Amino acid sequence: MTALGMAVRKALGRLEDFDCRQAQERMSAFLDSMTSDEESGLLRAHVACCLPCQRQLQGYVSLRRFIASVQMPDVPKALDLETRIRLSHARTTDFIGELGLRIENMLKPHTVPVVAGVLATVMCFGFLLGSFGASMGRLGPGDAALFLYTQPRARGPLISQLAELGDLTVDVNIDQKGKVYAGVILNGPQDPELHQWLRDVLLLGTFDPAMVYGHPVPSRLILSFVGVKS
Amino acid sequence: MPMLYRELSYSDLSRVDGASHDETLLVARLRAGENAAYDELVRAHHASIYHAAYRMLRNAAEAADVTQDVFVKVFRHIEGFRGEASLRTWLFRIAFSEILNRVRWSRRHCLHRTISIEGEAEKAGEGHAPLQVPDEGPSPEVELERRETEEAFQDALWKLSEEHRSVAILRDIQGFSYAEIAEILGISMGTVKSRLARARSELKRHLIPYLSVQGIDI
Repeated sequence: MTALGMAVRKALGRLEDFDCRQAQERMSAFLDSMTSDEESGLLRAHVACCLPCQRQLQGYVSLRRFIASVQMPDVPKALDLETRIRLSHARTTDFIGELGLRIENMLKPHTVPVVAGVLATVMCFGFLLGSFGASMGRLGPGDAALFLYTQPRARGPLISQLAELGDLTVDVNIDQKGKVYAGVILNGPQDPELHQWLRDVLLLGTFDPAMVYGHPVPSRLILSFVGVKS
Repeated sequence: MPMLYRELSYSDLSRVDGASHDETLLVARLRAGENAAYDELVRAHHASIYHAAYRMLRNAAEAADVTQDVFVKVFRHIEGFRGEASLRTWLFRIAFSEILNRVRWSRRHCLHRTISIEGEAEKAGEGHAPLQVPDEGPSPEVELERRETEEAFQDALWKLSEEHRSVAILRDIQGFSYAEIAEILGISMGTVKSRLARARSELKRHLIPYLSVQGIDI
């Protein structure tokens, strides 16, 4: 027997062995072109001479056509938008966002008490500073200055002596011992003798020096007498 | 709250070798957290994921929920996408994992629902009674026939086990290849082939009464 004859005989043998059960098992894959060339050939040959299998295969083709004809269910109109919104929420609540949100949520209940506390503190300081300011006017000559700054003040008859000269404005610099070490007559009598007398009075006069936190410091004082009559 | 973005780099573009250039670029943009890329992804795939979920779960609200969950999971796990399969295959892998979890949960908790096709249609956003068809739309008869066909197909699908239903939906409705179905469901090609053969045979058997009335030889 020739090689061709043996091959034909072998193929016929396989076709004889290929029964309806085997054919039907392969029909689904055959429709998707997922069978081998040999299996496809055997199936085609079997179906060509087997009416029930022919009907079965036709049934699979009809089923496929029917499935293709079934319309897809309607997609909810808002699904696209809702999905994007949900995605957006998920994206904003990532680790950093979540941490920020947690901190914000943690601090939120304390906001009102903290703001109230700060305001109360500011108000208390305001009240205390007001009290210090008010006490400046009540400080006696021998009292130690506990507030920030006190102006220098003339001692003894100096003021009344100066007031006798009429309209007068003098700018004096006072050291920390209360002595005048420089001065300028800004306005007053033009008489040179009066000027000399004025210089002597100022140089001999004594002042309570300016105080900062109770310590004497050099300062400047402008004394002005306008419309004073003895 | 301000959004944080990462700039794209060449390494992002080279990380997904198997995908097309457009898909590679889209994946890189998703990784960079670009808003427009996520919008593009949702627009392109939300309908097909919803359809698959609806066919599997037979519940419009749950199908919509699954669709939203899939995209949130994509955002959370986009760094894990290696590009061995297409982005669509990866999306369906996430979707079917979620869907099958819900099916199993429902089965464990013995949830049985009475489904009204009119109710589902209203939930699906039609917003009017089933037979109140707009003038420019199909006639009531055509609409009724469409609903009956849809109901018959959904009934037949529902009678399959979830394994067989999954492969039938992925192959005959979504058009995935056997290799892609194997990737999505995490099974071998041989299993896909045998499950699909069984699923189609069962579907045919369940649809014979309906199709005979319609005059279709099956």
